[in-house]
Amino acid sequence: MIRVKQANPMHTIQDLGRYGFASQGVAQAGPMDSLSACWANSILKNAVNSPLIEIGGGGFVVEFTTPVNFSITGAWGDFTLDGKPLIGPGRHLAHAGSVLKIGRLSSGLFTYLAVDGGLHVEPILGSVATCRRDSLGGLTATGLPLSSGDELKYEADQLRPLKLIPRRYLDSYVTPLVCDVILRNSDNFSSIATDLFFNQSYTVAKEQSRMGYRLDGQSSIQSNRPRYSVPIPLGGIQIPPSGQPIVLMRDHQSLGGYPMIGTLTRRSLSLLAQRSPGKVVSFRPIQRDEAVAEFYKYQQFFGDFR
Amino acid sequence: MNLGESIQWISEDTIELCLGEPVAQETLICVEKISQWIHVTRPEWLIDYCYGFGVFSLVVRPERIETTTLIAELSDILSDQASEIALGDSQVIEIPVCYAPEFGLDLQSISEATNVSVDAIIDLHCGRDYRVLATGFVPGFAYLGETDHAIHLPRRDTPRTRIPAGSVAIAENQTVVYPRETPGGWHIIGRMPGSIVSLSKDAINAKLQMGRLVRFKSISMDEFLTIEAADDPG
Repeated sequence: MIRVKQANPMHTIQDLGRYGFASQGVAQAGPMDSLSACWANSILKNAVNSPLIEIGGGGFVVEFTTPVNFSITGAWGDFTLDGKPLIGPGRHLAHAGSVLKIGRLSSGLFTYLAVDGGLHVEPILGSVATCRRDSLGGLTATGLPLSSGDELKYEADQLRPLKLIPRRYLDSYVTPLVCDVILRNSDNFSSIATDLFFNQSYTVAKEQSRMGYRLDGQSSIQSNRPRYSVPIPLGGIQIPPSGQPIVLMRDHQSLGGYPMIGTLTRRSLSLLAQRSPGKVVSFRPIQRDEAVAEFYKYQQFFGDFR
Repeated sequence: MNLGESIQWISEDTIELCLGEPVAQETLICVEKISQWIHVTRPEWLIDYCYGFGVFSLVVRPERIETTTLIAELSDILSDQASEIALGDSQVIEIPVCYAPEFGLDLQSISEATNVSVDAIIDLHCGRDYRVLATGFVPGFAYLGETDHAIHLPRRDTPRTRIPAGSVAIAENQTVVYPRETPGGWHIIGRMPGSIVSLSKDAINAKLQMGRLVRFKSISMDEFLTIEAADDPG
């Protein structure tokens, strides 16, 4: 098993999320960076939806009680296994008593830790994804994050050698990010507003949570006054009266009243999730056909992708 | 029915369907038709769905269904006259509410803003049936409409950071019950005893389901405490 030695409230159990209950107001939850989460399971040949650990902001220490292959993907920094630096995102090997330290991050926000065969966690409403807002998921199914002393069960299969994820698949999480946006035609943004949205660059604001990320641009975007609340898609971009966009992340509420200018593609959403405050982001429109082609590519590669 | 411009893909896997006026009976019947069809046929290409004020969204597996097939299916469902759907108006859901000042935190300020006495506000709130116009936001939350014109008020300028679970509130032309403690900007007029939503391993059981009729009944503090004690699982 994995014994948690040090944790903070941003360390949670996740899978690809909770589906079928949005009409009841349940958040879909799941990994903030689903690309990295899918990689973590994929490199271990786990089922893509296997329970894993999302480590937000570093500062996580665990001990493995029995030998097992584990994988680390996503945000990177000062990570050690038994005192030796981990050489990169990919599949690693823990011995009985090995201690893994996810220390300070140098790039990104969310690190994913999966083990061979996946963690054994009981789902609630079809998922183990931890959602504090809904008090659902995690070890106790009540939405609590991991804490020191928690024990997570796994059954190790045969052990395999170290294998790294090829560099071409990795993002630095530091360079300016261009997000692909599928436009939404319902909220009547003027062409001036739309042009401004696509032509200026933004920085990621401090207001970041699993519900949404706020972005700051030099000029604010004119939007219509708030209207009735309508369903919000994952990655939807709201323009509140402040004129500064909010991108809706995994724990977003099911309905919202602010006008929406468009939706981030799933790939862009994963990459944005890893951007810390101050990082530069801009947007470009993309045809849905093109976005779907990319989505299929990930689905073929990972088995499923959401 | 030709869906034409009322339908659009808003992400790789989410399609949005505008059904019309949020409070119109025809819109609610369309919602009921689609929801029933989902419950009965459980399409394997459908991952999730959500409805809010005139807009129905479907999260699908795009690799399992063509856009044209999807639009044709939805058109068929919505234009199906044979299955005339009733909204189940004979069964009105009754919600007991204690409007005591300890719970009705904003009754006094509403009274001042609207020039309606506190007693009259309570009478107006209890005096009519409401329709569940949308569910969601958080589990168990339902938007009910419409309230009497005399007590229409915009939301509070500054939302409260904590509204107690069970609080009954009004804003604009609607009334709601807060399923659990959350922040919120609605005006609080009372509290219901017990809980409005319960959870099992595989299901959410919410008292207020889409399209149903709801009525509030004024109860005393004693009645509130009795029901609350009986409902307490501990």
